[in-house]
Amino acid sequence: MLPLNCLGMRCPLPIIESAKALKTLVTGDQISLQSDDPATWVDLSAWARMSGNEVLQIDKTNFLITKKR
Amino acid sequence: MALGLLGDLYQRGWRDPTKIHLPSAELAILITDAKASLAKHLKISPNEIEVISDLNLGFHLGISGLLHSNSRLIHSAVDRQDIFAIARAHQNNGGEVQVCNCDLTGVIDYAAIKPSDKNVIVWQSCNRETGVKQSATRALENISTTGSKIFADMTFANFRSEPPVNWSTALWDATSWGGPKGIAFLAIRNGVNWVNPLPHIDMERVSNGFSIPLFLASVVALENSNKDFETDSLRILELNKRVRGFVAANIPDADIAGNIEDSDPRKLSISFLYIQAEELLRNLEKSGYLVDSGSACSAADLAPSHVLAAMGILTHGNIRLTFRADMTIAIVDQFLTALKTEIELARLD
Repeated sequence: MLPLNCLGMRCPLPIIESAKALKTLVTGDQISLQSDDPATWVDLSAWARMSGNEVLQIDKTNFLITKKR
Repeated sequence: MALGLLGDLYQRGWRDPTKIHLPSAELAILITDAKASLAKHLKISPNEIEVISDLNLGFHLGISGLLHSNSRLIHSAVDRQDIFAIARAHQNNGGEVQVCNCDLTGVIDYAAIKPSDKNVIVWQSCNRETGVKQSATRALENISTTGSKIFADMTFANFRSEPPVNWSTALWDATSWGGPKGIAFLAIRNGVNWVNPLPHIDMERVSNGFSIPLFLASVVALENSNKDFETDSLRILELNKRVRGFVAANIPDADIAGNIEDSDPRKLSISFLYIQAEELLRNLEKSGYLVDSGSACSAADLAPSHVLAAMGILTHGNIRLTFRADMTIAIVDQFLTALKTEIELARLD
């Protein structure tokens, strides 16, 4: 699992950083994202729907991304 | 035309229509005629209309006037912030509040409403951010609204659409048909148990402190919009479809809010993945295009649009487009070329 610290970044930066990091991974790999921007979960969910990947909210600032394609 | 008439309307409209002099009486007749024309177009009775000068106040009067301390106020997650504020006040006074969610297309789940004669339902005709329309028949046919009171938010509705059959109060905004800002119309249905929630000093239902020239101009604007409604609507629909088609074919990773079939074509909200809206807006302005946004970076409170968030639409990289009938296809095409270029450049970074 790849840790990704985006604390303090404003959207869309956490989404951009997550997408960049995902490119280095293979299907099934996961990213543990930390982000405190209030739009993170809404935008991460929309990004997952559009890109075909999976996301899970662990708590307010921690998210799990699974590469599906 | 309404704008051109404003000078004349200010000449005639400064008088007090309640006085006994002839010019005042003439003005009173003009106001009565204007209200009759307005009522005809909105398909309500002239004596149900109140003219108000503050749209936000209209929400408060329209909704709070129906509420009692034991009422359950039901509204949607995509309603205007004014309505959320009224709901918070009702809750703080011990009242009950229910929020109906919506799906990805913006259709509000009114079916979640439990029938009760305590219900005061806020029904949204059309969302001003996304243009998504709610069908009153589809939304309310499966729930019993017997005993419920319904406030119809018609503030962004096309003026030919009608509130639900059993509406209690309804609110229109003159800007929605090209009228001036600062004039709204609150309808209080005859026979409905409505009480002015504000202190008031006489028998008038609401204060008549509106600008008479702006009121008259808004009625002229409505009459003009009605004349060209069919051709203007078709033209605007064509422009909206053109933008949707271009974006779908030429700009990847775009999230369009709402389907064209269920939307008012005057508005279009699109979000672009990996794009900072503020930067996009500034660059589009340099190219000569003034565009609005619902993204956090363009809002005063740094919060993303609650409407997009409730729908599950991407909130960053958002633009809101407004279409008018006088826009040409050539201008829209030029804008689309600029939009595509700016997004491609931004994504290169």
